[in-house]
Amino acid sequence: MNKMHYRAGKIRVLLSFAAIITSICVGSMFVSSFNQVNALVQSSENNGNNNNNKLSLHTLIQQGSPLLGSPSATITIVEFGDFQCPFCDRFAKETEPLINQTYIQTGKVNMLFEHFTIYGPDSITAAIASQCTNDQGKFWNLYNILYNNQGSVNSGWASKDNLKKFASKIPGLDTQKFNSCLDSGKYLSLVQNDLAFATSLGLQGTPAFIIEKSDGSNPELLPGAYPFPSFKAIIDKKIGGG
Amino acid sequence: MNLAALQSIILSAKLVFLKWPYILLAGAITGIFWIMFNVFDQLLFISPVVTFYLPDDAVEGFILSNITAVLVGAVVSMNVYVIRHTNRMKMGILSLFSGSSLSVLSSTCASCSSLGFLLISTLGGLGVTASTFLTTYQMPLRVISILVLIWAYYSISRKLTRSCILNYDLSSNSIQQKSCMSEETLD
Repeated sequence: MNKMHYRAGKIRVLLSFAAIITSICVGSMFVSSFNQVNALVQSSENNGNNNNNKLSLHTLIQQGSPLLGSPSATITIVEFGDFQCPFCDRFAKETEPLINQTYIQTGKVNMLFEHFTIYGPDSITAAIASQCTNDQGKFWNLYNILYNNQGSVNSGWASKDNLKKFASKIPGLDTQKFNSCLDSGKYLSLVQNDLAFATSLGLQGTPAFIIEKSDGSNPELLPGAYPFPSFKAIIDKKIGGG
Repeated sequence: MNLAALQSIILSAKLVFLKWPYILLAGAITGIFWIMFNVFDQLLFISPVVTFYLPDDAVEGFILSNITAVLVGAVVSMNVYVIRHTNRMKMGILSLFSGSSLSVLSSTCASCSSLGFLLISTLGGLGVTASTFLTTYQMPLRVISILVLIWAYYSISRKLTRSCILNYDLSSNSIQQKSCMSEETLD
């Protein structure tokens, strides 16, 4: 009986220890992530309204980020996404249309996309394909098509052949030019640079959004598929001068 | 499930949940897990404004996470009752731990979240496989965690209400009835 009690007590101690260690690891992960993003936000705030600010609209467009909306809008949303991410899919279907209708089409806000390809090889292929459509001004068409046809992660739904089929549905797209761009892997380095940029910001999941003034100042982070009211609260505050 | 099993579940529930501290404890644990699951599922947001929303693609998962939260609350409460009233500290702990851990793990979109990033950056290709598995089989994992928690609940119920062993004490010429909850001496 004593042996059984001793064993039971030992198991309880081990389980408690495991739970404590797990909690510390998970907690420090989140704290570390927010600390890094806060550090970037701080340094961006120190740069102020400077078009060399690495988060500025000017800098990001120069680096090849696709733009939705008017370049003269004063508020910019930078989306860090992966076409295989289910939460990014949720944002694209539930929230982005509302932001588009309320703020982008009225010229108050514009939106940029940065590739944060964390799921695997199919994510990279899809990202390259989307940049190829951006050459012809059709990025956001493929953005919608991919999220409307999202399959299971790395199941092959975003293979090169399927991406070519998806792209062929875009009206006005030169499919020969697109296919050649995709086959050559022209934008692999851009996608890799986007991934490195997102990592340098301390981002650890998709989707993630930075809402900022278009010169890159006063950035605020939303790490996740936040619903429209969350975006509205921040955007309205920034439009009001906050 | 036979009648005896059902009776032991009902009896153990009466034993534990007719006492308000255990109802409070179960409610508190359920609440904590409900918040945790919905934050991980990106349905509940604390900042910049407290928001809860339920898109169509999340309804299934929401129902499963609600069931899980209630089960975790009930099982933890029953475990506390058992620990307070018996020496059986090991009872149900392993199934509680595995059931609740599995449900927490499966409640996140592993690849979208920090967990996936940690897996991939630490384990490389193996991390991609692990996070893909957790994301693709999220629903089956949640169902398995519910089954594990149901088993934990049933195990504790059975042991709480099982028949007791009678020992005859020669020195005092009495029957020492060892009940599951307390020791009584019968003359």
